[in-house]
Amino acid sequence: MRRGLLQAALLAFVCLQALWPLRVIENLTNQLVAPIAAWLTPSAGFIAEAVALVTDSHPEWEPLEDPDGLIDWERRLGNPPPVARLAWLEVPVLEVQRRAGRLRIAAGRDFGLALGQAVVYGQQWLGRIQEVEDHTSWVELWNAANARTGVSLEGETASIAGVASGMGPSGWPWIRWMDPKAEPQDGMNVLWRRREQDPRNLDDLELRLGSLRQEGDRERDAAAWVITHEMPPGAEGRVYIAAGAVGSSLVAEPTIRRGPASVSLFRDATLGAKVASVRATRGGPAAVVLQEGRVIGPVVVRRGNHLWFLRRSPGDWREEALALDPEAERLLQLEKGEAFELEGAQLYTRGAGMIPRGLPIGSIRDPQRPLEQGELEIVARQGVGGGSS
Amino acid sequence: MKQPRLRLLIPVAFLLTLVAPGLRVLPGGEYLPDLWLLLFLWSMPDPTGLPLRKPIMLIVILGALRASVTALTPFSAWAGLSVALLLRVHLQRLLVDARFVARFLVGWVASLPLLFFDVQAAWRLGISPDLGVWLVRSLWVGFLWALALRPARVPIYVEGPPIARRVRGAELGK
Repeated sequence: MRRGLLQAALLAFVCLQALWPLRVIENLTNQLVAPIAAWLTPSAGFIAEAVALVTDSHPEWEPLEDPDGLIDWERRLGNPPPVARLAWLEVPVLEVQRRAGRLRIAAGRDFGLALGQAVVYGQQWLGRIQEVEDHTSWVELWNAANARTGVSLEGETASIAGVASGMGPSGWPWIRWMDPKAEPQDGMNVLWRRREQDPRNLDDLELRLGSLRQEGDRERDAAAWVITHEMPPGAEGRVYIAAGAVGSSLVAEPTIRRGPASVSLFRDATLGAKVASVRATRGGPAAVVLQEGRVIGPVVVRRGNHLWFLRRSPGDWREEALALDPEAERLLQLEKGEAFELEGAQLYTRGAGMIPRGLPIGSIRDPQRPLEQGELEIVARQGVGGGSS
Repeated sequence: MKQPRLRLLIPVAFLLTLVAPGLRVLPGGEYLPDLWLLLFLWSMPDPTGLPLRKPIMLIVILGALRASVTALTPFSAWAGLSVALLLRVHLQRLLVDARFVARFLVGWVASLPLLFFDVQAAWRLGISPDLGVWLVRSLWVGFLWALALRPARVPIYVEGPPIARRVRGAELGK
């Protein structure tokens, strides 16, 4: 009886772990399987390569024009104009929490950041530093739920002071308070209004939030003024922080680790050609696999030095990639579909968790690259957890 | 049927693991059934009343070997093989093994748990598996199982006259 219960419990545990895996147990199991995989994976790969009767087609890839394109454009679009007695600290974004309206950025006490510091992208107001840790900080976006921001509603003749309140993902931020005698109008430009403790010079920038619009039924006295806006896609990559005093470096770029790799198995024995395995020649973090300088897929499983990754064509990256439109000087999000209409749009990783931002993926219409030995790399952003949500 | 020993099964499982990715490369290879499941079903008799050490050891070994040539978690194989054995044993008691369709049904149903756990694991990795291909794989398991369990091995004389029962008992080594 006791033995039967034990066996039933063991079976239940295995089934539950298969369906809802606990990461600790999964990692431990992968470590236990790693010694077997270290011998079997390359041997099986060698046999598979030897008996391969079906070979991949070898479509041509266009040469990559500018491997650092995304980062260059983000800097060009996002770097605010110089302001007297202020310096702009450039900080990459590590994590975007859209629901919570927060960004995790790659600088903290190590770069002297403090609570309440202004965070901008170009001439767009983003929010303030909300929490400072040793090497990272959290930025509360101005449109986060219940975040309050002083605003100035600018019309052709009038300027109205007000306070905006964020609604998070449930709607546009609305004007919580404004001068009762004021007469706002649709389409007014909404600018950021500084607090007493903010540097006076920031006023010169005329940081923008969005446009004013009235929503609801005015006749029933159920109308509200809201601020329509769009978060610049580049602000997911790097932000700029106004600082009165800075250290020797104005860029808080996190460490990106690269290491050589070689193919150990071209096809997964169960999942087929969608998944392949590479062998990293040294340990350390691994987030994506690059072939000839372009990302060919994200790493999904690690068993010792053998890394399993998904083989993707550039168009498969969807919301995990950004397209650069060099002519219109803008970044396009793939999920909105505009990038697919753009001929020859170059894609770059959007960056999330350990995947660095701005790694080149290729042209949006490129087919899946055939996997070949040579010039393979594994890359990861070091000391980073989490991801976009 | 005499139960194969572990010392024979383990090298066979190693060999299968080595050739499995190569077989997937062959034309139509993606439709081939799961080799580890076939080996397990073929080598495991009804474990009722027998010590469970051998089936458990074989499940652990096959799952670990399989995990060295696939990105899928070994838990998927461990859960799939365990439930497959349970289902096969219960279905074999319900259905008459003498008929091809019954044997096919037993093999096919026994392959479904592994398919289910594999598909779940693939989705978690961000892969949308082609369910048609995976269904063909499971049908292959049913077909091969029906062929492997030939009627001659079915104890149809057990319920017969005493002399036949004795003959069958002698065949089984009892």
